[in-house]
Amino acid sequence: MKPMHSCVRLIGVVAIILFLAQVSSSQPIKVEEISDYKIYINITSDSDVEVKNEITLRNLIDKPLVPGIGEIRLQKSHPMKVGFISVPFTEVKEKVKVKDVRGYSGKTNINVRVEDEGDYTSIFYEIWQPIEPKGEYKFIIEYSADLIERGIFFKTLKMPVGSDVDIRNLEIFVNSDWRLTYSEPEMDNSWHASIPANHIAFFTAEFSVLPLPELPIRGYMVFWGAVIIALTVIAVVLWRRR
Amino acid sequence: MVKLKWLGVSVVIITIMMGLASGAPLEVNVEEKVSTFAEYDGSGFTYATNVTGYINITNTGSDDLYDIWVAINLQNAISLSSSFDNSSSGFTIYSGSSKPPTMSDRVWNNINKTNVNYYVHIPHLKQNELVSLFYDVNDTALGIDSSSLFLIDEKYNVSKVPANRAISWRTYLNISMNDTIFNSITGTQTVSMSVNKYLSQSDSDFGSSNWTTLGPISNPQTQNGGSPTTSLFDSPYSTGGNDGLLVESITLSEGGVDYVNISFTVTGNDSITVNRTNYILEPFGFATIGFSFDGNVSGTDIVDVFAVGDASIAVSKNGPSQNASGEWVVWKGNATITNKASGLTYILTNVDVWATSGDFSTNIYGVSFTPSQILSPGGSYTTSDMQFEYDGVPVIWANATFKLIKDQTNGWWEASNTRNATNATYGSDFIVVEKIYVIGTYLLKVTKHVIPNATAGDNVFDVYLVVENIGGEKSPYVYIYDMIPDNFTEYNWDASWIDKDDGNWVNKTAMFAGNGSTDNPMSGYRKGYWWRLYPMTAGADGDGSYSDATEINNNQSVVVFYQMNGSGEFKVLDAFIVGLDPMFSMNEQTSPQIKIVTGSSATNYEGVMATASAIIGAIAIMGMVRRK
Repeated sequence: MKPMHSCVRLIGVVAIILFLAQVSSSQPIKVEEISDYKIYINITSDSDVEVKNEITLRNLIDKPLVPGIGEIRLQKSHPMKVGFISVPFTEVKEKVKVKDVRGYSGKTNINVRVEDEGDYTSIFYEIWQPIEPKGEYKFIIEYSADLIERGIFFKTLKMPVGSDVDIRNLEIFVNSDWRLTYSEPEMDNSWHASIPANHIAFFTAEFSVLPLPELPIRGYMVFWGAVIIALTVIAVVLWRRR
Repeated sequence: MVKLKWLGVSVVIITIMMGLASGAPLEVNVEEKVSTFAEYDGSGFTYATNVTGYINITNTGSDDLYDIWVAINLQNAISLSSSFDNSSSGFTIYSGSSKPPTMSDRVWNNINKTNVNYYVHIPHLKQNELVSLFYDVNDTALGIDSSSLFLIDEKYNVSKVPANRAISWRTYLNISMNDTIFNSITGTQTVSMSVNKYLSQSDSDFGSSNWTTLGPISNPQTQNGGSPTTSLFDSPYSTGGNDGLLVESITLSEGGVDYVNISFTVTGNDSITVNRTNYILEPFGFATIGFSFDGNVSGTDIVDVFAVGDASIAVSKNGPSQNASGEWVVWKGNATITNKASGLTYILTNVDVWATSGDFSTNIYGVSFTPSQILSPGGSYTTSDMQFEYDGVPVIWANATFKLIKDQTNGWWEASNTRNATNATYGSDFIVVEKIYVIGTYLLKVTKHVIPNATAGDNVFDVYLVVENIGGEKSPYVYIYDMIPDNFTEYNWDASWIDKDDGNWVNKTAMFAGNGSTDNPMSGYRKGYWWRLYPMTAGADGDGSYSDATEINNNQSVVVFYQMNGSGEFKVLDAFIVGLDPMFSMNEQTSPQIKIVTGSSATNYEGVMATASAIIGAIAIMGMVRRK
């Protein structure tokens, strides 16, 4: 077990699950699934990250299907902030500012639009290309969004992924110029998962500008914990010598 | 000498079997019984199968049988045990391939031992007596525990039905032989089958008490599977009449027509409460399948049977006569074996004839014969004479080894068949539980009408897309999409879908929440359109009418209307395509609006810890300053 802010994490998990539950209701008869879902995340020095969703839909029935309108719903939850300080045991849910949204399949552009609804943001895409019985259709949705929680020497990505249809094969690739100091689940170049309908999985990665190795606990806790201990010792010594 | 001459021709008859002679074929029947529970899980059927086997050894004739040895090659089974025994003598099971301790060499040398792993010995089996052996087939090893001999495919003309409304749906039940299993069974099988379909409102009989009414079954039809017949009956598990369907005389042929299609219409009204659940996979009854075919699943085989019935052996002694030296020492003897049974045929394999001294202490002479002679009922075989010289009066002995031949009318015969296991309540223990989705929330249905409108112009067609919420709750936003085929163009359209005085409008207009289009959505279509409708009120009747003013006014139905004009080689048939985009829709080809949820929920308390570090650092600096 890794020592995490379990209480805060639990609040986040519950909130996201409720977020999923309010939007979804599973198919009584499974007609479609996401057979392959690759997410490429490029963490740049800019405030936003570049996200590329490579989605393959599979038609599970013996009739052609037109996927029609689909939705990628984005929400950002984080602790309340006072200046640059995150206040523990608090949570703020808010829309995600997305830009540079683009959808395409091969050389065909896909209509996309962005709508803000309450405390979340939706990217709607339209696919009018029928998928043959048992066939597949692959398309790509790209956007830039502020999905990173930034500190001083560390920045953290914690991405929930879920859907109201089965995600058969999910793979998440994260690229950053900074050094990976922590990942959960443990990352081997990428994350692999299979997520049943109406379930959600969380993927966390922490990066640092400091030359730290990958650690079993969050790097910022190790680093700043060590700094606090060192300074405390120095303070005690100095005050005792007096 | 006179005495010897008087004794010169004497016949000793030893009857080795006693009993009434009558025809008595010995049947050894390998019978396997299959229990399968098949249940629809929403996307297909899951199966649980258990096969048990019986080896029934029956004297079906009128001759008693003795010293019966059955050599068995038991395959894919756990073990062999007793199931039933009303034989006169009882029986013993010997496992393993080695010679059972009570088996004589005469039997051991005359029985086929290839792949035998069990021997069963029945000393005496009278007429109409039966010994039944039991074995449990290793379903897991055979890979059939979660499969089935017959694959079930059941579809409905609607994939879902709304709750709280009498509705009819057409059921298409397809039963086919599972090639994977039947290919592993020796021979080419022909299956005789019957199907009993029961509607059920009983929770304990594969139905649901949520059905306030269920039945009748109507318009049953069959295709393939030989020449099936259908008849309706009253199911004991449902309150109506004609709520059961019997399909008989089905024949499935491996390698030929190995399936049967049964269709029928079911009417029902399910009362699930809308607030309790959005939908439920509701059982509406079950079907039992009765079947039989030759051969067995496990591969168990009767290798050989050794048995005897009534027979007699007679020894003939002749002598003495003179030898070349004139001495009266030459004796002759032979044996005659007679089949005394009335309906059994034997094969006589060995006859030993030998002579001993009068006090039996000395063997004088002996001869073995291997006649391989078939002895029909009443038939006999006499050995050639055994001749020897002895100056006393010898005793001549004989014994014979014979056994029942493998023959369907006068011997033993192996039969093998597989059938459904019996269920005391339902008849057959091959049970198929049928379910259909009942939607307790909103349920949308879209109907498309394409109607020529000669008044408007040549090759002008009016298109009505009627969207109805036939469920019990308000729907979410509804997306409806449609495509205009090649060689058709929009006719009399303007930019607005609000005004109804042209060739494109939505009724009622207050339900129109937006629209969009795309060019060349797919091959054969030049334009794709979608319309967004506000949430629709529940309770439409689902008749697809585009002129139901009441439902339109109540927001239960919304009509999207447009006109199109065909030119060149247009195909009206291509216009019959329409889509709908909520989760719960009558249209099976409805794609749900797929939602992917993602974002960020990261936490980073680096600022807190940095601030704490700064404070401690400040305290340390204060200490240093004060020290100086």
